[in-house]
Amino acid sequence: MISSFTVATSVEHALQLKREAGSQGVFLAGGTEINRLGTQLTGTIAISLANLPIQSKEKGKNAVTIGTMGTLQMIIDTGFVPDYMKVACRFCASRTRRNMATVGGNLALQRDDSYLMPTVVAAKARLILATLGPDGSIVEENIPIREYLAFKDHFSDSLLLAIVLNKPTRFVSSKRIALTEQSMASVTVALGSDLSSKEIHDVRLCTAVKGSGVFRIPEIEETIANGTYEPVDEPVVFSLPAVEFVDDFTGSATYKRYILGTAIADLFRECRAALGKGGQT
Amino acid sequence: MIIHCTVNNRHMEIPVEPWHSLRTMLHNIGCIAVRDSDDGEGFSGSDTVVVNDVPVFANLMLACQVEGCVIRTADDLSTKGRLNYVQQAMIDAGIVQDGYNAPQAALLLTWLLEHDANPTEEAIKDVLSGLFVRDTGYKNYFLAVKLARELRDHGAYKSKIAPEFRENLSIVGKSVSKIDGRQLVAGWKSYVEDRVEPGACSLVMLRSPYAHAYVNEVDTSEAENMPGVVTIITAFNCPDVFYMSAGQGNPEPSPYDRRLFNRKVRHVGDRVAAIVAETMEQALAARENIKVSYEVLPAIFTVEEAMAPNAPIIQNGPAEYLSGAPDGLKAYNMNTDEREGKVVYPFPLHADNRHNIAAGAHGSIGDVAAGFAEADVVIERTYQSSQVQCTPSEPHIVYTKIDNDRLVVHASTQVPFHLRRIVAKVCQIDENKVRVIKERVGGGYGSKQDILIEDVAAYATWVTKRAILSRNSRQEEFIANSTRHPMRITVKMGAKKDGTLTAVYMDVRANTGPYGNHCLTVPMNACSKTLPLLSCPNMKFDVTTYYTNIPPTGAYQGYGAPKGSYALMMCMNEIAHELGVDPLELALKNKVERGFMLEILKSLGEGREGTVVPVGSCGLGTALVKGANMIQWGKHESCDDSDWKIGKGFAMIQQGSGLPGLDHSTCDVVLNTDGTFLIRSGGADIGTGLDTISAKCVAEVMKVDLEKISVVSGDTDITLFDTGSYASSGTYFSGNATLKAARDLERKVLAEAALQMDEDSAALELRYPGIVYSRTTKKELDYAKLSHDALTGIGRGQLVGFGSFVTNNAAIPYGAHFAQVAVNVRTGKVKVQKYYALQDAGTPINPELALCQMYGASLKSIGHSLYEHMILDKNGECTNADFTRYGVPMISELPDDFQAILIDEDDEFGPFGAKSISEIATNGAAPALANAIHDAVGVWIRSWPFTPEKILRELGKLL
Repeated sequence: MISSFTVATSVEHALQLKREAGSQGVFLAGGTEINRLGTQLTGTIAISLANLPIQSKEKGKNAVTIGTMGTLQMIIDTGFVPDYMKVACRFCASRTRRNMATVGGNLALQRDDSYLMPTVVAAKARLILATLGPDGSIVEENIPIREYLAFKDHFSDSLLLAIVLNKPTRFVSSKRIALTEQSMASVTVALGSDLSSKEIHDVRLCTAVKGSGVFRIPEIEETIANGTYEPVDEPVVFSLPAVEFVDDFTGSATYKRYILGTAIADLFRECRAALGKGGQT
Repeated sequence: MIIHCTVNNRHMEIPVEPWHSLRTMLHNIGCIAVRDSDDGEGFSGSDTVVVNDVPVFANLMLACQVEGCVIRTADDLSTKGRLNYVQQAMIDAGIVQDGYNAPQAALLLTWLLEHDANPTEEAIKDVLSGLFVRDTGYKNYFLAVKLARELRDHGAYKSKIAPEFRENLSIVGKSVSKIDGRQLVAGWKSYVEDRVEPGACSLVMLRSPYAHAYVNEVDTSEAENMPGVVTIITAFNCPDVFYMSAGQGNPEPSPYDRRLFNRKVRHVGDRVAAIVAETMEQALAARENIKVSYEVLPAIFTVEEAMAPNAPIIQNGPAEYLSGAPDGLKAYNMNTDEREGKVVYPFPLHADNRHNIAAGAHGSIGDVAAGFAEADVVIERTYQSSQVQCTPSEPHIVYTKIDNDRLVVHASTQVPFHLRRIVAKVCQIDENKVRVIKERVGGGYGSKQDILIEDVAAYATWVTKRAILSRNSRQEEFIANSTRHPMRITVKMGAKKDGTLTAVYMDVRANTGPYGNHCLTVPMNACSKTLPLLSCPNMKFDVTTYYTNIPPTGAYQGYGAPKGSYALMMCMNEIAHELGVDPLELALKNKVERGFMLEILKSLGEGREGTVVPVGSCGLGTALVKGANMIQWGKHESCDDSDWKIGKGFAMIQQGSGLPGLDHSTCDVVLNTDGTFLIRSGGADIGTGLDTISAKCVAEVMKVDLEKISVVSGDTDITLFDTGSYASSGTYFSGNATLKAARDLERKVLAEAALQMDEDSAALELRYPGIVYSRTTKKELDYAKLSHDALTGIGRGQLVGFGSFVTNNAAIPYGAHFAQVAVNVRTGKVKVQKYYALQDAGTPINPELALCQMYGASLKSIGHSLYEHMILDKNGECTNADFTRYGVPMISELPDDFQAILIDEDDEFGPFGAKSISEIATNGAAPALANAIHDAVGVWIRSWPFTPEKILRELGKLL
């Protein structure tokens, strides 16, 4: 339960408050997780980010920058944001929740049913984040999102400022598999590829699997990139030895393994079809 | 801290605590329309408000976050009692029924229309995507927006709201505004939560973490001494009264197998202690300091486990009989443990509690063995249904207090009079000491036919004399509420080559869970609301219900009929395929028609012999033929994407209209001194429009406008007895009682007028707008003068019409539901492309409400068929006890083409020809969808829900 609420006046202020609060400090973005029934967040000191200038969306020559306090609905309503990002935002099927949930909040949580993380990894997005240095000064970093995914704990005291989609023309497509649109997903998966050279290359494949977490699948990325990937159908026996799939209310481990394999095959076909259309998704 | 903000155009400074949600803040300042149905899950939208022109969930915002903000709540949409155009259109479209989320829907749609004057259906779906609507199935929300636009742009409706029935009637069968619609859509005080007074105590429950265990000790000493604690009730200080929670006719066809608290817990979430304290926080703190010593026992969760030799026995106490005790009872009751309690049977239920059998029923007509012998094809199939939750938007809630040295219970209940009886029994007081006031009910669907929290709160109030609020959390709604009984139904069916059924046998094995409420009636409905659809001369059924350690079951809209219908209609489809006969042809060949004697009903009474009646009004054939035409039965559909296969299915359905021979309704209608009317109906309007039906009956007979009529219902001090709203009884029983009362009053008015006008009453008639007219003298006497003169001290007193309705006549509603689905053979996903619900409701008294109830019940059962399923882990703990994990259908799950059609049939026994409408609509989806899935991909899905995973398994895709 929140026992203290402070509105940060600047990024530096927010980071200082977080450092002072220690493990009890929690950045308050949209609030859909912190205040939610059943949240896993345990902080009691809320540090509101509402007044920080990190909501804007900007379109550069070759990049789209989205402030992390932008809500999922704001992303959908912004014309120049790539469609694949809007699709991912719509995975949050409740408009009212989309009005509240922020890009930064969703990425920071890295939930195993994350709406956005597979897509931004597939998009090869970069993340701008700020950390308080030992001397109290702000250190701003620009890192690949895959680095954030791989070393999340390393960034636990960092504040996400913006996400940068460097190549908005990149092919990115995603799928979310859930019983109903608002049920928790058993699998969310996204495939990204650079098709500009008329070939599939620079592949990123990322998935969120309920009970297993969010992870890239480099072995399949490699086979797609080198042209050896063969989508198998009847029946798909999808092999990911390194991943432990678990039975839960979203489905059995067998089902998740199967449906992930099927979704990847579908995404690959989309990618190949896009290649045939000159890279248009 | 102080929050400065603008709330509903008022600049305010509001003190809050850092942990206060925005909803708490708004509720504290009187915005009662900002409700809560998910405890802050951010799912159902009862807490929707608009902050800085953006709709948000108030439970997911801290109050501190709205400093300087402009906030708008649904409370502000109406001005001085005048509704806005959206609110009015919502009422008229028929979507304001249980009404719990209606204010939020009005707020969202108003917001939408302010930003987009002519929104598309997609825009409407988008804005409502965060709103849970269980009662009316979303469909008419699109009509409501259309009507709102017409009202806004033209000042009147251009569109037809619903079909009209009976030209000879002025208001019955026509669309008019539901009489409680205004208060519900505006968010005015309506529900139990709105009646709670300052200073009321809170009651919280300590619940069992074990599925099966003896409670050896409950140490409350530390908790009792904590601040604010008023009392703690456990198995060691509660009354030694055995009863059951089902609100059913007395004597109840259920065993009394529980006390308020038992020495044995029988499911995860079972009651262990009730803590009453002056605040919720104090009660929760005290709960943490209660120490319980359990002796854990092995648990069972399925019918198969319950049937197994040497299975753990769930109710292993001695059996007692209030009547009809069997021989050998003394021997039967040997070697019991006092911690088990006992099981008291009001009358024999074919039970054997010491072998986990809670109840049984058996019966037949004709010669089933001979029927199978003469068949060309005999098949036997087993179908399984799952445990699903009612999920009313308003959770179970009760407010109890002492007034005038009597116990007063403000309840959200379907059965006020049964509630009074059970509460009096538990408190060991007479019924005259108890008053039950049924408030508006924010969704019941059967779960509020059970007395699930009122018993404890009432007893606590009676012994402490303190006012107490008790409200289930959403998690408690899942684990300690009534749910659909899981059932395993085996159907054996024989038929000749031409499709004529020669014999049908149903073996129903039901899982009642820890207690036996509804353990006979719900499973019996699997047969009694399905077998009478068939004209087959040889039919037999066996029903056996077992105790297990799953969360409690009970009544749920449809009772056992959705499960029986699923099994029987699936099996008919399967045998049609075996025979190579079109399933529609087979249905048409074997269905009943008007005049067919329903002999099977003789053995399907609820605890006693049933009454054999002929089929009366029956729209079954029309529904089948019309539905087949609508869906283009027999035409194969295909999809450009070869992964998607399309199929069609249907199911015949029926229900009842109350329980002839068991139910009883009474009503009186008072002519007020100014010529207006007060209806006092024992019926319990649970949002479906029963009060409106009552008012329409009186308006039709007395020939006055609805505005001249007020209705008080479901208040045990003010109204007369009614068995309540369950088993589809409202329209037929309560409506008929009101109609009889109205006609009684009509006679009395004419008699009084004859005296006052010095005329022969035979020459008098009632005329609109509320006058007595003499055909002889052409004189008129208005009701106001008539009533005034009757009450002047020399008159003959107040005129009151009285109606009491009992019957053995059945008014059975029939119908057929058709579905077209697309099934993805690679993912197992099912899309419902078309869903057509065709039903014969006799004369639909409120046609627009009837249609919305058909949509609501259909979508609910689509949810049960495709998505919903309570999942227990190996210890019996429900792993998906919230909305998000559980998976209820929202507006995004609407069928692409969703139509409800009222088949016109005039029933000879119903009020103005009306029959029931809502419950039957839960019976069609499972078989229609399963049959359509088979048509699409060739696999029979014989268990609920039809998840993609199950379909993939049947398709051989999952190893």
